[in-house]
Amino acid sequence: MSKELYLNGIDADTGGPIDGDTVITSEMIAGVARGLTVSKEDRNDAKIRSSLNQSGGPHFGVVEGVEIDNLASAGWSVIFPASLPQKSVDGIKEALKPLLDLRKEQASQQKATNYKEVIGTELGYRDGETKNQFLKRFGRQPGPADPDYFPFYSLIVGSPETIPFTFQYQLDVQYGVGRIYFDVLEDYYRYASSVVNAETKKTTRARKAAFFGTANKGDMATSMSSTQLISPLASGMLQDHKDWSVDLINPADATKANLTNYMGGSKTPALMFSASHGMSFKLGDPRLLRHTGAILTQDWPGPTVRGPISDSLYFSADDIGSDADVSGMLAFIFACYGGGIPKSDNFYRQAFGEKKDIAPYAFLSQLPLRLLSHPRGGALGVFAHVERAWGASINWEGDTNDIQTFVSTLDTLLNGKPAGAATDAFNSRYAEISTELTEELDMTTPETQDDVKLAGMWTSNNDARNYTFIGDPAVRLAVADAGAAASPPQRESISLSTIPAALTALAAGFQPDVVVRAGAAPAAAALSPQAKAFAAGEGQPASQETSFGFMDTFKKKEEAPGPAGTGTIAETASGLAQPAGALQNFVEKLGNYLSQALDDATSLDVSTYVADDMSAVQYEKGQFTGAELRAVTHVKIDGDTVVCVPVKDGEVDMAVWGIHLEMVKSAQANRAELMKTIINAAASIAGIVNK
Amino acid sequence: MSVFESSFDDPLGMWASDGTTASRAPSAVSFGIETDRTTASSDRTTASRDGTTASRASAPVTETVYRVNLPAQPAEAHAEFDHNQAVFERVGAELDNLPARLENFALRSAQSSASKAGASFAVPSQENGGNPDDDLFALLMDADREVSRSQAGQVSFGAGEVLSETWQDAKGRFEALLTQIDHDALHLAWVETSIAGQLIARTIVDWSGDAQTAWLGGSASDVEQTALHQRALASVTQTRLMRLRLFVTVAGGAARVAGLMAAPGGALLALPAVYQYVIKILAQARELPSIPTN
Repeated sequence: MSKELYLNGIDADTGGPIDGDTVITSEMIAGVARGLTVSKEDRNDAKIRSSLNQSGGPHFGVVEGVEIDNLASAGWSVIFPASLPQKSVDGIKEALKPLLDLRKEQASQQKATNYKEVIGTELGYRDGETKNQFLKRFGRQPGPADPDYFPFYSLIVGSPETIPFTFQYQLDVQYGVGRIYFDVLEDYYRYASSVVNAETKKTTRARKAAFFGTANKGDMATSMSSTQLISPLASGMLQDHKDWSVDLINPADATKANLTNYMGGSKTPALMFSASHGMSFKLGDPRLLRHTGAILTQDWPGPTVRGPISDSLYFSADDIGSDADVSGMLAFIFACYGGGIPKSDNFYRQAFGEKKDIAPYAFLSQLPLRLLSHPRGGALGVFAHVERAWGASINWEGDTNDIQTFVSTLDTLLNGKPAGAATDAFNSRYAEISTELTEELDMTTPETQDDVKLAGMWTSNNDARNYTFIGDPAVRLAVADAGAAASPPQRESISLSTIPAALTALAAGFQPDVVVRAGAAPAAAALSPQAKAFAAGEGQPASQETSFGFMDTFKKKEEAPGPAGTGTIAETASGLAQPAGALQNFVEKLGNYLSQALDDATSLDVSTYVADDMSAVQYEKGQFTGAELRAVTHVKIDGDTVVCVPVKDGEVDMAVWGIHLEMVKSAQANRAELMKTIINAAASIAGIVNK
Repeated sequence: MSVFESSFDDPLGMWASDGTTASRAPSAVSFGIETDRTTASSDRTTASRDGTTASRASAPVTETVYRVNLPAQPAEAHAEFDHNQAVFERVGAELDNLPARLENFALRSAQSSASKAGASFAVPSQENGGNPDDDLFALLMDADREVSRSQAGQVSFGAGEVLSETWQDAKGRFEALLTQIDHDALHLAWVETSIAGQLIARTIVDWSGDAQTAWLGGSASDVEQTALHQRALASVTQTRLMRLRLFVTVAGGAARVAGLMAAPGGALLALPAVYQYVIKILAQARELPSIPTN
């Protein structure tokens, strides 16, 4: 018997399921499961982990004698990509300094080696390494974590392009792993400061949890998550943790406006749990990078009303306002792509035998990152799902509602243990199911296998594996002591003005690794031959005899008989001697502009002036007059940066400097958009001219 | 006074003309491009401006001026940008769809060209009225016939004059787009943000994104005001890039439908017609409401 399965993701263009009208059935998934390939090392890991689980000991994936909730015993490490440029290493380390100092102090109390900075070309994560290859360099083989060799808690600092999600999943089976990655240096500092503030009790929240679950009309997935996940979790918590207050938001109230109250507004809890569809966007959609994984709220009229979904129906990073207060919060976002998205769709590849890219590159979703890096103080961490979230993990084999994994995760957190220990429930489940799944496949034949059972195991396996923690895995709920009256949280704003001067100087030269890649090789690799040639011919004079540049496209046309054509369309239409000439002339010049723009793009100049009287400000000879020049940034394409920092009374004028850096970021973002459009336009124009 | 104002007529309809339009009348616009790029260099002396939005520069200007006039309340100001952004996204999505739509149009029209030929004598509908596909077909056939007559030495009268006028109008609009792209590439853009009538920032930005910004003293320490001016700059960047995409879409579309025309140089002749078609579709997208919220 085949059974239709439910995914928690909705396509923004159609308002329908991510896979269009392709209904994913248990039969289809069972087929994928049968084709499952599990590496020997993964299978060994799963077996070891599974046997540890069954032994009943207080293990949690560490060797005997290690206390999982004591950093001095379990240890802590930070992992950078080995390939990260030194400038970025320096910048991130400076930005994370408050957190690194705190963790070093905590983890090295018993042994100095319990704190590790896995950074640099020698130690850092190397491209393509598996978990076992990585750990082998530290004297470890598969098995429980032993902090004498490698600490249990590991904070990955890098995008999933440089340190893949698969490495994180693998390491997470036996270790407590979290990840952060931000586009700008200041966000690292904001997050680090937020964690330190929370742990030193500068910020605490009342013991309050909120459970937010949508149940969109006619939608089976959210109907199930609302009744079989959100409601029982909330009532279980009310029963088992009586010193906590619990808000259960009814589906009818699970609107975007109400979510704003809970995500930074007056009702923001210490622990937020949401279950909903996550937003999915087609490749090329400008919202893909910004809004993937956003929470589709009850405002969505449901799958029966097909049509484009605007941002008024979902809650994204853009909805966390500058005045939001999310500091000290921990969140759990159950939604497709809530935590991030890989470049290619794994399920599609296995099910249909074709690779299907669903993102320009693997990335973390912006909503959790915005929560973590909020200027007023960030959230401590977000549990979220990478790729699709499957309803089957709530409902085992189609008829057994089992959410113990979620319950255990929350209980671990509520009992004051670190987030990296809380994810253990999912990791244990992953190991157990993975072992059972491979054994089921080994011990049975397709003819005797139960598709529904197999599909349930496969989806639960992937579902459990793909829960990740975004943030430092050593963080814990930052709440007032049990029994104490909930005191109003004390906030310490981490605004621009408090960012250290040393960091602001480093920030201008900082390059996030994904931006570097997007602007270089991968973008070129994805181009048409004409566009590649255009890029290769950047800056070459059009008259040069041997040129492989884009302008050759036009040169060939120029050699054709007929006037170059500078007349108007009207003249052309009436004369019609060589009508292609006028268009060609325009296109040629447009090509020159585009080429010129690429030339100009080898550096970026941003200047900031301040004036008391804007009416006196004039622009003459390339600069403003009547205003005082306060800051200048010149960024070269190789990352070298010259900055002039504003000084006031002998110290850096942080207000002006902060504004200036914001303008530099804007200019960089605008430049990136310009380059993307130019390259696309160049490819299109080449296609037109060649017709 | 509109929230989003520009000194140019904006074919995308995102910016209202502020009455100081620097563009020349479409009929006088050359299809060619000014070759003197030195006028774009940043060492030019330009006309000065006063500091308020209420008083506009009267001297001839060479830059495109974008003015964003925002209300005093930050939430309302952001709502204006949010609305504008939503429209941008709809227009952008429609631009993505247009090549396929034009391809379909070309295929369908080729299949039924015999029956459609009669429609070419109908006067194309004006602006956004009528079916865009029918209007496009009519305009293409109109241009095709006019060119054929011209080549045969015939002179058209009557209905032909009307058809020609419609085509000439489309042609003028397309030329204005080219002029604006030309202008974007050659000249600096002024981006001014005012809050409750007070100019808080002015940025001079070139084609490649190099920017100089003058801030009103107090605004230089106001994070909210910075964010609003950044959004204004982003809107201008989007506008410029959208114009480029618009041209590419129209030129590609003209190449696709050129096969429907018998006259030589079909792609060129088709440009104004396709441009008018695209503008109509985008106007519809601009007005398209999102799914209503509960």
